[in-house]
Amino acid sequence: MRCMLYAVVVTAGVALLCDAAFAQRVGFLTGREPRGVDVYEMAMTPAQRKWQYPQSLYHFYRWTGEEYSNYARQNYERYVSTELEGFRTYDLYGNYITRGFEVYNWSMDSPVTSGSTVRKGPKYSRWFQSLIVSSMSKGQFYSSMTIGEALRTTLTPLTFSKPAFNGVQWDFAADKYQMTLLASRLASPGSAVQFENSLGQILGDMTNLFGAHSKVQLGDFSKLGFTYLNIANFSTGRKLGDNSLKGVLTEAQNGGNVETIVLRLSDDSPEDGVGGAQLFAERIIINGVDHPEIVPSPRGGVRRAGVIEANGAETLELTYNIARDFRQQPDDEITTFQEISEIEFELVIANDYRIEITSNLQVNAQGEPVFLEVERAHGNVSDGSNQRFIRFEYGLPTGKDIIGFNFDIDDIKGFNMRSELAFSRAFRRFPNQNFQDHALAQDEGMAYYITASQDAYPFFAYGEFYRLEPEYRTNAFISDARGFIDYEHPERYSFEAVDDNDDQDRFADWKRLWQNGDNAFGESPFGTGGQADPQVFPGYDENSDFISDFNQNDNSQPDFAEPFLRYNVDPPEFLFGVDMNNNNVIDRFENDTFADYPYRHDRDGYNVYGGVYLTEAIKATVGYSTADEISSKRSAQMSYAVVTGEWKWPGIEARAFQYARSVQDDIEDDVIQWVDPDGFRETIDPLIAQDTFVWTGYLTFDYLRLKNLNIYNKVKYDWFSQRGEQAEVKDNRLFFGAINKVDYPLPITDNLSFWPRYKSVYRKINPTFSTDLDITEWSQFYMLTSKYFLLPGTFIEYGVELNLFRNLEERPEILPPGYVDDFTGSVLALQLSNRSAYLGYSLTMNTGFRWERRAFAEATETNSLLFIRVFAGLQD
Amino acid sequence: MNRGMAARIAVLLCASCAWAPWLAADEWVLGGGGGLPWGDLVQVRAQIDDQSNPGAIQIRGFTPDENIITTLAWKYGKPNDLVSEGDAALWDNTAARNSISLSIVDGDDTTSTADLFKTAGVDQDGRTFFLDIGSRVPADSLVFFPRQEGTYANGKPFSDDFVRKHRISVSDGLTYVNEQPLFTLLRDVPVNPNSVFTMKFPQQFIRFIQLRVGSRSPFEIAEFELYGNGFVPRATYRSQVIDLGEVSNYGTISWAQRALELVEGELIELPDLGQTSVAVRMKTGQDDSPLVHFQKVVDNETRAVSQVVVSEADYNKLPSGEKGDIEDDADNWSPWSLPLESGQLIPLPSPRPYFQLQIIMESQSVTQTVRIDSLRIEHSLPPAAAVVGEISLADEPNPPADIGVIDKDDAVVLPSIDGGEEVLFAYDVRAIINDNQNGFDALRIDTPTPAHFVGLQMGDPLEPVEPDRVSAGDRSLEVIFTSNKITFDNNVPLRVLFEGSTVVFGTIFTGTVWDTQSDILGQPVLEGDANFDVSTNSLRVALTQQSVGEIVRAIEFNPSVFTPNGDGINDHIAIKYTVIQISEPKPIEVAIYDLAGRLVRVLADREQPGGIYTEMWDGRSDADEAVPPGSYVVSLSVDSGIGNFRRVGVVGVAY
Repeated sequence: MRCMLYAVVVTAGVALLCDAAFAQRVGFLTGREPRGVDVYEMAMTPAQRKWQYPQSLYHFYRWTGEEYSNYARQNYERYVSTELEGFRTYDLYGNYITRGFEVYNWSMDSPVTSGSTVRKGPKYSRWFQSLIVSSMSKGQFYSSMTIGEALRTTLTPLTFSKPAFNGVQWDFAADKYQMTLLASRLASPGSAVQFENSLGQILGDMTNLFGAHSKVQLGDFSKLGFTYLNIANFSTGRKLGDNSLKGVLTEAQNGGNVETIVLRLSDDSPEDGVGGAQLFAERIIINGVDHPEIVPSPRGGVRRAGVIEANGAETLELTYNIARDFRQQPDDEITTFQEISEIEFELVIANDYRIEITSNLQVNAQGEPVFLEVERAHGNVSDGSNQRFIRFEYGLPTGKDIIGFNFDIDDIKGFNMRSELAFSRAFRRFPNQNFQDHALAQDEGMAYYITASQDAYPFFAYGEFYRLEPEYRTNAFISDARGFIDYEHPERYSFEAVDDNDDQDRFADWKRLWQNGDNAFGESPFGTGGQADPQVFPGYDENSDFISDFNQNDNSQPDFAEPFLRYNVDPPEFLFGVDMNNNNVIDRFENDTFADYPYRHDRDGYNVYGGVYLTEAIKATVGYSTADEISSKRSAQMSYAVVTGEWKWPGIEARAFQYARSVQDDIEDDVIQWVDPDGFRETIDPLIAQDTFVWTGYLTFDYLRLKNLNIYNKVKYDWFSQRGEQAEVKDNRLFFGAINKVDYPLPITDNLSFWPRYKSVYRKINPTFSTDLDITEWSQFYMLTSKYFLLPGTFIEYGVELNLFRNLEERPEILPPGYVDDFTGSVLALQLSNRSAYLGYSLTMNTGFRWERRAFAEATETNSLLFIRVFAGLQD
Repeated sequence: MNRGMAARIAVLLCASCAWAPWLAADEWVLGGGGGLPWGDLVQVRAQIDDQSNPGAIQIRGFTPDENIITTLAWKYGKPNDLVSEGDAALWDNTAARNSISLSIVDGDDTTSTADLFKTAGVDQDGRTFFLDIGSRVPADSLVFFPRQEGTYANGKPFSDDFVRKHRISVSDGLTYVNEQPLFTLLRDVPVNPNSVFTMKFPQQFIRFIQLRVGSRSPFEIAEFELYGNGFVPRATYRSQVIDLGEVSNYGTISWAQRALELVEGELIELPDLGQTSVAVRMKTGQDDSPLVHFQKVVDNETRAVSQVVVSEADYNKLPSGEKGDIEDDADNWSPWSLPLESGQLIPLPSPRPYFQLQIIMESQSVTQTVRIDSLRIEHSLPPAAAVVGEISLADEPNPPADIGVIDKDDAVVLPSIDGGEEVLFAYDVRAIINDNQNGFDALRIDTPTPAHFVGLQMGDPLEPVEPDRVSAGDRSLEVIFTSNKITFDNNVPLRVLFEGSTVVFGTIFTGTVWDTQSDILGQPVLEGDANFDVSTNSLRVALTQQSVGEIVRAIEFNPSVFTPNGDGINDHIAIKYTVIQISEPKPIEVAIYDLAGRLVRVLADREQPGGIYTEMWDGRSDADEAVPPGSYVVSLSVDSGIGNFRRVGVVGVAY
């Protein structure tokens, strides 16, 4: 009975669905599904004449091809029809999607030799400017798939953070749950093709990225997150199941047999010149069997009794000629080196070592061997106490994964916490062209941080604990279209899951392939396709126009040294800020060349502080921080106190910052600083606070109460007092600078105004190192500019500036480097400006001249500038 | 035998040596009054001055009026490697113009860059010249100028085309960023009114000079000159391969060196080395070339390229495409020794007929130089053609395969022991002696810890033999067997059994044999197969993997309870401890605490390397008072590079 009932229901359902109209109503059929070609009764006419079934030209233009075409009455219509634009597109099941264009297609077909396709249609860039979004929502559930070439994507600070991710991001969000999936074919995420009939880029070997991050809200105040990121080589020549999340060797990587392996040992801290790698013994193990007959030929190093050392810049290379020396051992199951599937090395090693490895298959584009790091010593041991047996397998990089957990607490009675723990695993496999399965080896690294703060007005406290092991890395090699990887060319063959982007703009600071593309950013001011950010000056671009605020007119002279402009712009050395790493660069202006983890790589430390608001305007903070550089065992400890005060009254503003610290800092924090107008300059950490008391102060006082009279004052000082042994090799450093400015805009008539200005800059520097120059100098600038409106929108400006530079140091007979003689500078400038509207733009024309003269005691320098310049903009 | 008798015998022995010259050591002398001239034997000479003081070498110096630029050999173009010292090089940031630009360093002020930087309408601002001196030199002034003589067709003198604005930066060649030298601004010259630009600056070492032109106007440079007053910081002398003419053993090396300081134009000898140093290294060889030359050979069928060894002469005749690698000849030549001390025994493989010397002289002060007048090397005919030895554990002559040593040339398997563990070693020695060689009757074994002689065996098969004399020091064991001297006629294998230990992986138990009855030099025992029943073929001893990593291996008390009452019985306690792996002196403290944690006595607080040590405690405190009876904690603390290691134990005091 029950069976009969089922049969009736099913039959009824089928009957209903077979009814096309009903099927269309329920969404199964649109009437445009692929049906093939039907059989027509009218085509059954038994005539010999060529059969012409009316198709598209007939349907759209009533053209039969056999009738006379005359356009006298009805004008000819070109082949244009919106109904013809695009192509009918269908899904996997043959369901009709739309008449249109394929905009994006990433598919991977296996097992075929070249089965991975990424195709971005012409419309991807022309219609959508390389960004497409497919979104959905219901109730409080939202989802959105975003495909683009420059996506701002951050999962967590330790695992994935890029200003311009080139790939697919699929986000889900509900009330308490959030999730993101990431995917990209890193080897070639593809560019839009030019024509609709063009194929996308098809690869057989490639590196793919897949990632996921989920976040769950626990209770009202906390969130728990999980991140998994995988970057691995795939090959469509293998079945999907034969690929691995740990990566496979590409055809190019697996294009031979390992015949020669070279180990390179060096000093991990070469700058100290001693205590480098000490090698006591070695052995090579092939397929688990000891092979003492393969004797490495050593090159370099210094031999002591029973040990070879590599100190300073010296290196020791051990070359294993496996193809030549391999002999079958009694326990061997293989007879020739071509059958080797695994090679391990065991070394007895000590002190501050760094071990790198290469082979005849680990080469760059020129076929030269490329060394990759295997191990490095923690600390900077020189007494042999870290002697150990190290065992590692040889292999070529195939993939990387990163697993992370994060836990946050938001405002439980003023308590906040951010924490993250992440592990990275780098995979490598032993290449052998005779095998498809390759032995796997892996290296691991760990990183974590916890920051916690408590606000309980007027008190506050903060603590941060962190460790980023040197082995923890978020970069991975990526293959090119041939599956080749040049291991020493990161610009082309490396992907960074966490980018270096110190200035927090849309351009990553380093050069990597498939980033910063012109298309991705639309009209890029720099055209930085695949290039590094050409200008990185964190903190110096507060108006975010990609031009340093110290050279806003982007010429060859910084604004603080340029006539007239220098009244408003003070040199960057008069900036103030904390310098927690004691490298003499204010932290918020630092630009380095490392991935932007929350803390520097290879560090272990903590920082705690607490404070109190003494008044509403005054805040006092005291704290202690310590950090170790794990690989070198250099360390830094600092006790510090910061007092800040800001006061505002009508027409009067005052600020005072005092920053005192007791420092013992041996860690080198080198940076690359932007110096106007020269550009990037490597700044080696001078280590001027190895045992030092540092006191930095900053005071400003602005008085604007009197009509038109503006007075600005600024004082900054640094005092580095060296202690202990440091006092014997370094001098106490003093920087004292004072800037005083006064100006008085003076309108004479509606059309005529004068603006007298005066600026004084005093600098005194007693350097840390006696070889550097003592500086005491005083610059005074007297400026007078006047503006006269000839017509509304047309005015003439005249300016004169007198610059008195006095070097207050006694002039030595032999001038030391950097010494500047007294001089008197004068500048005359005249400019006619006209502002008018033109084609919807505001057009400003400037013409005039500037004449400069600097008179030294012995000579005079004169420069002049004549110009006509026109600017078009949208702003008045 | 009393002292007088011994002295007479010694005199007789010396007298017999005097008329038996083949039994005495000889001296090879370089430099000085009677030695070979330094210049005749030089292979590499960098900043070496062998002219100022005939017979001696010293670090090169410059006088204030000597243009350093013209003393150098220049080439055009930026070197690929800017870090290594080498020839002087000149380049600029414009298109290559090769020899034309060398005109500014050729010492000829009539040649110049001519019209290169005078193109009409071309802004010359930014032209930058780089000079790599090749090595660091003392400098205190530089000069550059256009041609001072001659005019253009319109009568305008060449001398008017000088650089009117420029910036000069220098680098001392010690600091590099991405292998590019780090420059420091020396002088920014906003206005230069002089055709001949002269700049004095504080004396300093300079290797790289950067001249950046800042003026837009055309210019030329005829000469660039650099002056300094003082000595370069580093000079290198490497000798050719020296052939002693016969296979020899090496004794001591010695030289006379003097540090000199330039004071008011005069060189004054310093009482000590001042800020100078000398590093002398040496290597010995069995043939006349320390290098191996390879020829590339292509297999006609497979097109595979292989390399075969050819002589240096043949290599030099090869077309460039067939020239293969040149490598150190590790089979026939020793590596360079560590820096030797004057008067030190040369610790290199011998007997060998060839050797090579390398001398690096350095000065941290531009006013100081160091001079070597002569250098002497002691050498003599060897007592044997070859002496090989191997060490093994007496009860394990064939240890299982384990990790190998790095500079092995044959398969060797090291005996392994736990660090600090005292074991019975067998030290086998076998010699090859020609009929004209003395043979030997003494063997010294250098040991890392005190060794205890157990027995001597000689013959084939080995039989116990009573030695004539045995002496054991803290770090050596000497066995004299004059009654059974090994000679051409009595060339038998020898084995010494001794108890000992080691604390560092791969310690070499070096050995030396000599003839107590002659003055010829001792001969080192080389690693080799001295006993066919022993498979180590090595003089090294490894540590077991499980014992590596524990810095403090053991702390033992003997007795564990003692009675320091002065009765002569158990009045002291011996605290024996073993520290392994540590290769340089590190703070080690042995202290006694009472059970309340109060410090009672510090027995040792000093820096010492790894080893086996014993401290004695007499039951008295630091205040020299007898401690009350009871239990006390002995604390051993080692402050190593990877942290502080501590071991404690409890001992008892009773009365």
